[in-house]
Amino acid sequence: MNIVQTHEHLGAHRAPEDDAAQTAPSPASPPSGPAQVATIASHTLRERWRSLLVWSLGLVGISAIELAVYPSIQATGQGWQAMLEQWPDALKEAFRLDAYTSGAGFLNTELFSMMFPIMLIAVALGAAAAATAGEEERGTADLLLSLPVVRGHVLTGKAIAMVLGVVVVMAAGAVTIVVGAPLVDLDVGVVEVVAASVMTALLGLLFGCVGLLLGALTGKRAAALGGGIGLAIAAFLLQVLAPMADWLEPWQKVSPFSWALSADPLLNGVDWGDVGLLVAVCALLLAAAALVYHRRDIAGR
Amino acid sequence: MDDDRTTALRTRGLTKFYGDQRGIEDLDLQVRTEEVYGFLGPNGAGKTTTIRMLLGLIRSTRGDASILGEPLRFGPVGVRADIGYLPGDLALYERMTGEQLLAYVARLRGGVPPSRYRSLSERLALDLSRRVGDLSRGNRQKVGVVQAFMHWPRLLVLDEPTSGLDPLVQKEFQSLVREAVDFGATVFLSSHVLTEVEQLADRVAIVNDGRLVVVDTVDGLRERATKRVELDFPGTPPADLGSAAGVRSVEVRGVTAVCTVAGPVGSLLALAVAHDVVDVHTHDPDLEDAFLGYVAGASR
Ligand SMILES: Nc1ncnc2c1ncn2[C@@H]1O[C@H](COP(=O)(O)OP(=O)(O)O)[C@@H](O)[C@H]1O
Ligand SMILES: [Mg+2]
Repeated sequence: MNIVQTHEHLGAHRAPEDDAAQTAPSPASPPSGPAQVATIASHTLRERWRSLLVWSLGLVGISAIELAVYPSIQATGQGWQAMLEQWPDALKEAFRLDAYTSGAGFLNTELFSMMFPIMLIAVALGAAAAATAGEEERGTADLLLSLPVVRGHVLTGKAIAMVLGVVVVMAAGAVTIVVGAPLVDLDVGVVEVVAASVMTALLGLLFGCVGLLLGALTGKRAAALGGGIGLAIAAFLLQVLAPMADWLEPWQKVSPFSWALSADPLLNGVDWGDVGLLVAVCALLLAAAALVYHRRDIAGR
Repeated sequence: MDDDRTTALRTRGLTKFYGDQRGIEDLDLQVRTEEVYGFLGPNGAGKTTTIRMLLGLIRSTRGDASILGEPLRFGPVGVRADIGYLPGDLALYERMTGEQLLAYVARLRGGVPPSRYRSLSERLALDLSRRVGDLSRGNRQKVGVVQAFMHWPRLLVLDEPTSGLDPLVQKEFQSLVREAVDFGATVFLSSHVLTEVEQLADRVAIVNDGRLVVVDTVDGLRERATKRVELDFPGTPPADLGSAAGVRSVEVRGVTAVCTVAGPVGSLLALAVAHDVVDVHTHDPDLEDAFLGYVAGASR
C-alpha cells in the first residue's frame, strides 16, 4: 500500500473499496447547482420557520378580527357611507374608501391597502437581512462559501426561501379570508382575494429584493433592513400623499405600492401588466445582488 | 520546480491590503504535495488574510496563486471541492445539532456518507446529538475539524486548528492529519505557537507584520535556534567569552556565565576550558524562542 502511494501523485486517490477504514475514495464531484440551491433554500426555511409561523398567525388573527367586526360595520353602513362622503377625495383614494361598506371594499381598505403590505414587507425584509448579510455577520459565511458552491447559488437559495416564506404567510391571511368571509356574509370573490394576495406578496418581495441587494452589497443586516424599510416608507408616503398634491401626483406611478395596489386587485382582479412590472423589477434587483455579491470581499469575524 | 504534481499550493507576490492597512504583502510560498506545512506568525501577522484569499473569500490586491494546479480565481467553485477548510474564527449554525450541521455540509459537498462524519466525530469524542449553540468552544472546534476532514480533501487548509482543543484531542487531531497525508493529502496549517505544529510540520513559514520572514524545516529552525550554556568558573568568569564564535550574549551571575549560543558550542567550550571551567550545563534549544527570535528580528 505504502509503496504504491509514494509512486502516485496527489491527484490519483485510491479508488473506493469495501475496506472503508483503509481507503480514501476520490473526492466526489459536487452536486448540481439546482440541487445545492434546493439544499440551501430548505436549510434557510428550517432556520426561519418559527418567525414564519408567528407572522402567519399574525395575519390569521388580524384577518379574523376584521371579519368579526364586519357585520357591525355593515349594520351601520348608511351612517358610515354618509360620514365618509365628507372626507376629502384624496384621503378616500389613499385608503381606498370609495367602496368601504361593500365587503370587498371593506377588506381592501382595512387589510390590503396598508396592513398586509406592511406585514409582508416586514416578512420579506426579515428574510432578506438574514440571508447573506446574516450569514456574514454571524460568521457562518466563511464555512458556507468555502464549500464548492457558487455565490450566486447561495443567493438564489436564500431568495427562494424568502419567496416561499412570503407565500406561506400571505396564504395564511388569504385562506382565513376565503374561509371566514361567508361566515359573516361578506361578499368577496376567491379569485379577487388571490389576485390581491399575489399583488401584496409581490410588493413585499420587491422590497425583500431591495434588502437582498443591500445585504449582498454591504454584508450588514442593518443596511439591508434600514434601506429596505426607508424605501418602503418613502414609497408608501408617495402612494398616499400623491393624490393630495398636484405636483406630487405624477410621481405616484414611481411607487411600487401603486404598481401593486392602484388597480385595486381585490375589486378588479389581477392586472398582468402590474404583475409583469413587479416581477421584472424583482428579477433585476436579484441579478444586481448576485453581481455585487460575486465581487465582494466576505467579511471575516 | 513548478510542477503541478509536486506543488500543491504556490503563491507569487500574493498581497492583500485593507485600504491602507497591510494584511499580507508579497508572499511567496511553495507547498509540496503530501507535505505538512506550518504557517506561523503572531496575531495580526496576516495568516488568516492569506488563507481567506486562498479560499476565494477575499480578493487579492495583487499577486497570484495556484492551488492543486489551478490558478486562484475569485468566486467560482474552482477547486474548493478538493479543499477542506477550517476557518480561524469558526462560526457555526447554532440552532442545528452537530449531526444536522454536518449533514448539511455533506449534502452541499456531495459524496460524504453519514458513517464518515460519524466515525470522525466518534474519534474526537464529539456528541453529535447536541445543539451546536450548547457546545463548548473545544467541541465546536471539533465540529469544524470533522467538516474539514470528512470529504477526503486533497488539500487541508486549517487556520489555527488546535485552538480550544484539549491535549488529548490534539493528539487525535495530529493522527487525523498524519492519516490524511498518508492518503495523499497536503496540509497547510497556521498557528501562532510553534509548539502546536512542530511535531506535525515538515516545513514552516514564519510571517510577521504582513511579511514572510523565513521558510525552513523544523529541524533547520532547531539547528539555528539559540541554546543556553551555563559555565561555572573557579572565580569571576573571564570577560572575553563573548568573543567566541556563535555567542550572542553573556550574562554573569557570580561565578557563573550564562551564554546564549547559536550553532556549535565548540569555540565557546575551548575558551572556557582555557579558563579552567569547572562545570557546564546546556539546555535544549527552545523552538519557541527561535520563533520569537525571528519575529523580533523581523520587526526590528
Ligand atoms: N477586514 C479587515 N479590515 C481591516 N484590516 C484587517 C481586516 N482583517 C484583517 N485586518 C488586518 O490585517 C492584519 C492581518 O490580520 P490577520 O490576517 O487576521 O492576521 P492573523 O490571522 O495572522 O492573526 C492585521 O493587522 C489586521 O488588523
Ligand atoms: Mg488569524
